[in-house]
Amino acid sequence: MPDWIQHAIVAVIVLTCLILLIRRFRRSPRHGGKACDSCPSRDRH
Amino acid sequence: MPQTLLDPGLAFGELAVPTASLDRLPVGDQARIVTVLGDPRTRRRLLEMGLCPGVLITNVRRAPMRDPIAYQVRGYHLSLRAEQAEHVIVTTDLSVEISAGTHPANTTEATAGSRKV
Amino acid sequence: MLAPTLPTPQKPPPVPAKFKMPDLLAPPAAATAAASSSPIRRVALAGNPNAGKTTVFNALTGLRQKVANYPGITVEKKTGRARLADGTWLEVLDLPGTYSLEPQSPDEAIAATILRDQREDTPAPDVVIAVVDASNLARNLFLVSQLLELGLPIVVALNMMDVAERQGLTVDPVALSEALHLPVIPIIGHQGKGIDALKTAIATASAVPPLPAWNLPEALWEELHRLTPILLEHAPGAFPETPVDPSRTAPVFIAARRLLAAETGPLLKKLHENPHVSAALAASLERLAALKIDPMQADIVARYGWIDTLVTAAVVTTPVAPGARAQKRWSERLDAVLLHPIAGLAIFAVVMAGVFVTIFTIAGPLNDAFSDAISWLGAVGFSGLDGGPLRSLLLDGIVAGVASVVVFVPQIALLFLCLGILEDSGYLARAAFLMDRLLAKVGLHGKSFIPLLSSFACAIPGIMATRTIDSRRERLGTILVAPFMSCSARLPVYALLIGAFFASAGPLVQGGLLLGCYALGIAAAAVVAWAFGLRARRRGERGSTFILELPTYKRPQASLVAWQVWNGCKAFLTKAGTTIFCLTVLIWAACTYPGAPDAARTTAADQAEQFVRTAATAETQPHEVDAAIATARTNAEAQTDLEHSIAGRLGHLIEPAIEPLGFDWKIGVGLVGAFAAREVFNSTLAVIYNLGARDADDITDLSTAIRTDRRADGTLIWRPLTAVSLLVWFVLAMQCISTTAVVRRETGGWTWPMIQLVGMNIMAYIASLIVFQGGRWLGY
Repeated sequence: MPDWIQHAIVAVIVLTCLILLIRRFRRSPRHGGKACDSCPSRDRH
Repeated sequence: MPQTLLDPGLAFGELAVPTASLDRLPVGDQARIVTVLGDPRTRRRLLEMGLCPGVLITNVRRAPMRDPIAYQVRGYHLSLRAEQAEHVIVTTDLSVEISAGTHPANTTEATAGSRKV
Repeated sequence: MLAPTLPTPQKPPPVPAKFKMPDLLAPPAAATAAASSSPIRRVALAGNPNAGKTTVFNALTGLRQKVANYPGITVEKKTGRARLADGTWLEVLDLPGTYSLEPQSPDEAIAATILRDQREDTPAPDVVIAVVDASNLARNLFLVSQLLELGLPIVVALNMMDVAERQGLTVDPVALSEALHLPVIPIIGHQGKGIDALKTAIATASAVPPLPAWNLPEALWEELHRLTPILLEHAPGAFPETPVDPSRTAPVFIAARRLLAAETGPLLKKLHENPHVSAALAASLERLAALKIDPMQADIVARYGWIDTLVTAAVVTTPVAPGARAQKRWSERLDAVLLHPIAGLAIFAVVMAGVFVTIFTIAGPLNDAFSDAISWLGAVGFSGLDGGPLRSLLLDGIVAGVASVVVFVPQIALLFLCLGILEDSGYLARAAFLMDRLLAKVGLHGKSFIPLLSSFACAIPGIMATRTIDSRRERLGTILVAPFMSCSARLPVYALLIGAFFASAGPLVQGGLLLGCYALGIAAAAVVAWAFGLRARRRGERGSTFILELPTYKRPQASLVAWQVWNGCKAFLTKAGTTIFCLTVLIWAACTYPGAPDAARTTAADQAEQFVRTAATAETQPHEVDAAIATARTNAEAQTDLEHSIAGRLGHLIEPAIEPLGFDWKIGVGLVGAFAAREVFNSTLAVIYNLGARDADDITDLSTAIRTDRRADGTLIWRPLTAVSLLVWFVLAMQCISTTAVVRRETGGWTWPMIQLVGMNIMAYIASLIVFQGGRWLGY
């Protein structure tokens, strides 16, 4: 696989991850519910 | 509403009814609640949980360092801090009839010779 | 002005007063008409804490749940949908658990105001489901006595029938139903029994129950008669007319009683502001005080009098089955030991220590197996791609990075397993009992125990669980120290560091170190909580009411514990697969780009070659030397690339600041990444060390890599003391964006989360500094 294609694929993956992360962290505080939906939540109220 | 504690063993007026605050009830002993003192919020919650005058209560266990204390009342377990149990005045004389309306103010006077509070 | 059914005030009843409330039984037509106007019935679950409301909620709604917030107050709003047999839907609202509709915490206030239809964002439900704990019937019925005054249809879900049976209590739902004039459905929530019957009862519930008769003192009865017309005359607007009760007698009567009983709420506040009402009220209270009658007490006592008759009618104490009796005896015997003042605490410490040693003993070999599997996967899976950025991303970045976190699934699973067993068996409630006094000494609350304990899994649900704490100060104190409870995200970091440097010392030492980490966190929490409470204690503030119930011991349900372990692992893996995955990719990019200029790479490679040559002895074979040189050159070039990357430059930038703590620039990069998620520390290091040793196809074992990493001059970068210093850092530092976000939400501002963030990190810095420098000075 020529180098430039590899770089391109890498760039796409990296950018996607960046966008996903920003969206995830921005979503947390604004959401009325659980901030971290990957946290083990146990209803202990 | 008197907020002071009664000394253990002090009779009510001329009555020979020994009373003490609940936190002094020894482990394993049963007592009858005479009255509930304290600030309005605490009093209300204690009463709402079923600690009404006339009710039987048993000291089941104390925690390490003597606080909180587990009680059995009206068929369930309840744990109170010593400072909350202090507000509940009980008598170990289970034969005494205590009316459910016994008001803290009632407890400073009693009819001489009568067994009813 | 009074409805004909009430006796007139001029004629006090000759017999001890038994007040009879106006009958609120609505004509069926009116009630069902209202019900059919909306296609979806809205129901709310009310009940004592621990009565099993949530279990019923889950049984009704399954996975169709949503968690939000009530606006203006940080209490969770749980709603869901349930499907009825006829295909229609129910909208279910799980109210916070409460002992009484006279609230003493924000949680309870929500329940009370919603049921009284006093919240704009959440109207009152069409039907109230009262979840009642059959094994605690009397106290649970107190709330029911208040629910009956709401004027809403009620269905009683008589839960925990199995627990009651084990205690030798048989509750007769039919007798109870007759006495209450309500449908009573026996259920066993956690087994799902009775849910269908419950749904049917909800679907058909339309009648508003009559108010029960209870004994109030005559004088109180008279005052109620005096107050009711005054309320009607001077504050008519406060009581809306309803088609059911156009004279509004019942709500007015109830309001008068509540005023006398010194209850609170928006309606009563409005009434107090009316001068006529407050004057009449004051006069009434004076008269009652002169007669030594306390209306609040009289009211509560009267309710319990009524409850006692219900209980007598409906509850039969049966001879306990031998099996159950033996179980009860066991329970009591256990408590005698486990709650013993001295033995109890000692046992608690041993149990906790045992949990940690187990984690290392069992998880250790599992870790290695995981590691090997992943290395093999990496080697085999990507052998097709030749060297290049894509391969590097996949191998050094994604596989290495994510794997370094995922390998710790055994530890996570074991932690949740142990916690699940302890909790389900009922032992943790005893621990709360034991810890209460200790917590109170540092200014925290017995109710803080459960939130703090939850924080050992993840601080976020723990912080949200503080909503049950009444006092704002104690709640804030708990929130501030919750992150000190080493959360499960720190576990991979601890495991890595302890495993890499202390494996040879055996599982006891390892378990001890891990215990030490948790203990340090707790100690720090105690200090901070105590300091936080100083200001308040000087002002003489009192702690709030602590009333905790001790559930009966039971054999932990395997299915329940398994579900908790599954949940915890799933959450861990989800986080690894998403947040950590993305972060790792970004960190890989930051560690790869831009690469070093060729000149720099050659210089480094030459240096490395020199080092190898000087290290070679006369006996070393030439081909060995050549092989060593080749490896050294590649590694040196890789290292240089690393140092010239964004991450590398950043790391070198902060290195002077962290050097006194024993950390080098690679650790520095790791720490920066860890601020997003602590586990990322592992993956960051994995990426760095894999990139820096771009040799064979396999994935470098991270433990070995950090143990053997050397500087250019050959000295080891890491020593055991470094690991300890790093452990101390991770125990004390605040490194979780998500937690800070939640703290901001729960405290309603940026002040406290910022204080927490900055304060904890300064603490971590100083502590690591002391540990490292002190250790060096002592000769480690």
